[in-house]
Amino acid sequence: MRHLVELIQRVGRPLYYFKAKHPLAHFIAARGVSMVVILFVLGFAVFGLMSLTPGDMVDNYVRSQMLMQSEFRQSDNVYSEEAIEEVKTRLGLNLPFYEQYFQWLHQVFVERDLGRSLISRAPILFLIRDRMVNSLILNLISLFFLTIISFGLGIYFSSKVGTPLDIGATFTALFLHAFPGILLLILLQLFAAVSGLFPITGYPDFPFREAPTRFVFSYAHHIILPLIGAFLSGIGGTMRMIRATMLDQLGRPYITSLRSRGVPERRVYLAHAFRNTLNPFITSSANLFASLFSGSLILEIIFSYPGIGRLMYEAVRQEDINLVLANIMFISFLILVGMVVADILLAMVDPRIRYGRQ
Amino acid sequence: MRRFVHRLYKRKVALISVVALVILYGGMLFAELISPYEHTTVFEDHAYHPPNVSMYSDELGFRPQVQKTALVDESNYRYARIADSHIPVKLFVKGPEYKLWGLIPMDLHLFGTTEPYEGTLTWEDGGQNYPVYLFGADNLGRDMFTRILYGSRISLTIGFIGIAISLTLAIILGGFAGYYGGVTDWTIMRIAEFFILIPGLYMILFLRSVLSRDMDSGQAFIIITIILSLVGWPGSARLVRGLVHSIKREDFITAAQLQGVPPLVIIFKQIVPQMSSILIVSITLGIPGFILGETVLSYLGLGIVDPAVSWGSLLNREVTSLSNLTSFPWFLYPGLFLLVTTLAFNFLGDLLRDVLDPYYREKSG
Repeated sequence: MRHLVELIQRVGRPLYYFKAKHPLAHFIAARGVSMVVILFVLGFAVFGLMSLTPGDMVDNYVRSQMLMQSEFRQSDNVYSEEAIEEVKTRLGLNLPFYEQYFQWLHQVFVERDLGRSLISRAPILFLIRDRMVNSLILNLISLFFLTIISFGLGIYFSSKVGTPLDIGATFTALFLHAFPGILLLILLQLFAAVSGLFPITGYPDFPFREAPTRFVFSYAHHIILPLIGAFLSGIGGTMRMIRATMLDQLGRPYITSLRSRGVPERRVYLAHAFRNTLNPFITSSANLFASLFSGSLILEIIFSYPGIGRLMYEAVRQEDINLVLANIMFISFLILVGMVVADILLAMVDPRIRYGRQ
Repeated sequence: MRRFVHRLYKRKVALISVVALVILYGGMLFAELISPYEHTTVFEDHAYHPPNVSMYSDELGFRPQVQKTALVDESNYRYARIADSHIPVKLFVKGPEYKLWGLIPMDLHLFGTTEPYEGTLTWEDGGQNYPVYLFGADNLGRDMFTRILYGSRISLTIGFIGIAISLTLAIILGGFAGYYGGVTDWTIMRIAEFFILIPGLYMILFLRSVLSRDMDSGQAFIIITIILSLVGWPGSARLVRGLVHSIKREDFITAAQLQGVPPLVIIFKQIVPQMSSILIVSITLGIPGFILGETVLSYLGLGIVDPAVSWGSLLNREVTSLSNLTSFPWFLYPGLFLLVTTLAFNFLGDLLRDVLDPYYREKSG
């Protein structure tokens, strides 16, 4: 036992040196490794769930495969048990789920092939790539506006604390935070339909290549309402948080000392208190990024925006097993990347994170 | 408690919220009595019928009443009012039979009409009475008000059941993690992080797709609740862990440990009561999340489906399509109830947090 501990320490020693020498690089590497592990476990869980639960999805998959192969095809679409078993064995569906998982991993990483959608027969990589770009654009734009405006408002209202204006703003923020997002989106779309000011869909009806300039303007026009929806449902929470942390910081002794030295109020707010509110904001903005994806699921469905959320929804509705699998892994990957980026940003902004607890 | 009541009176929004919640839950408890029909009662010739209760007419003067209508445009469901055909709305009339709380057989309803719908048979003779549509009718001619009341049974309880499951998980796992520390802590927190990192709605969609589509409403309700609580527990587990971690160092815990009280008993008898106030806050603020989760699933057609009814299933995508909403705006009434409920829980939770949570008060200055 003691030898084992010694061995582990000896093997791990370079790691400790690495950590001591380059804390940030070590931190980034550690986050990267944990991300890969989480994704691996997630895939494991997904495959496990799929084989454990008595769903119709696998059956559907087998049936659709049988339709394609002429030797099994039956005109009336009724198959014998033996034929189904035969196809299952051939597709590797009778293997234990971890073997299926490793096969899938092999297929994805070695053969670089995600398979084809069961319904549209298009390669999944092609489907996902287009949709993912769309989703990313929408989410980044909305995150950008959300950050800027909520910081502006949060700092402004924290300087007006206690006034009727601040009370009104706090109440509005709570109201928006509590407002059901789905209802907000339905109402916005209804507004678009009734007023006719905005299109009721979230995406232009012609492709980018046809007329790039016109597409950009049309796109901007189309996403205004979805953006307002995402913005309104996000602003309440972030503004409240920023205001609360600003007030928290403004009550600290260092602010008093700055003020007593005659540092201009503007500088106290923007250069000192503001910098310290970045920290909790980045932590929560990782969650925000994730929630934007979740939130944009509904948004994409209601405004029929061709993003990855809608792709997932359609795949689930049509029981397209390949697409669902690839989709959930991709979305988790995206969100994990977002979180790791946020973690790294946080470590850069706040050295305490890097050296202390991880 | 006294401070709470005092603050409640000072903050009018929270007071209104409490009143609204009491009314909503009262409506849920007495749904069968208050609603004029059952949620499956269909009036065949009145699909998409607008709300028809008015308070005044020349014929009957000031009193709640209903004017008869006739379907004039069958493709767009336009109704024309028939002159001089007002029917008074009466209190405590006989309607379809039901069992109050599944026990007491009754056929009294809070309000309704006494004139027969078609032919000459009223409810007592096995026919139907002329419908009162307080909030209009849905696509099959079922009374929206009735359906909202019946739907509240699922929508208003799913929050409590879901939060009960997820908080139990959170207290047990978070409590263990905080109390034992070390390897237990590390393992449980990694699992929790794992659940936090997975995008909630996508996981729900995936789980829902793996599980068989054709379930009866009871099964669907249970499955949805369990899925939602599985996604929801890690956040509270983190909170509980942090609290347990700090309370663990108090002297009375050391005293209990020295007396040889088993750890489980210490966690549940000594530590959990210490953080009850914060748990109450997180319950109140957590409930709307579950209600909205169910709404989203049912909206997408993956949650509660006919014949069961919830506010989400009333807002179902296929029913509340854009063209339907523009021509039949009363389809949004379930959304109004949803809004009132979530707002009420949030305002109440906000007040509770101000009163109960010492950490939060310090922070907000």
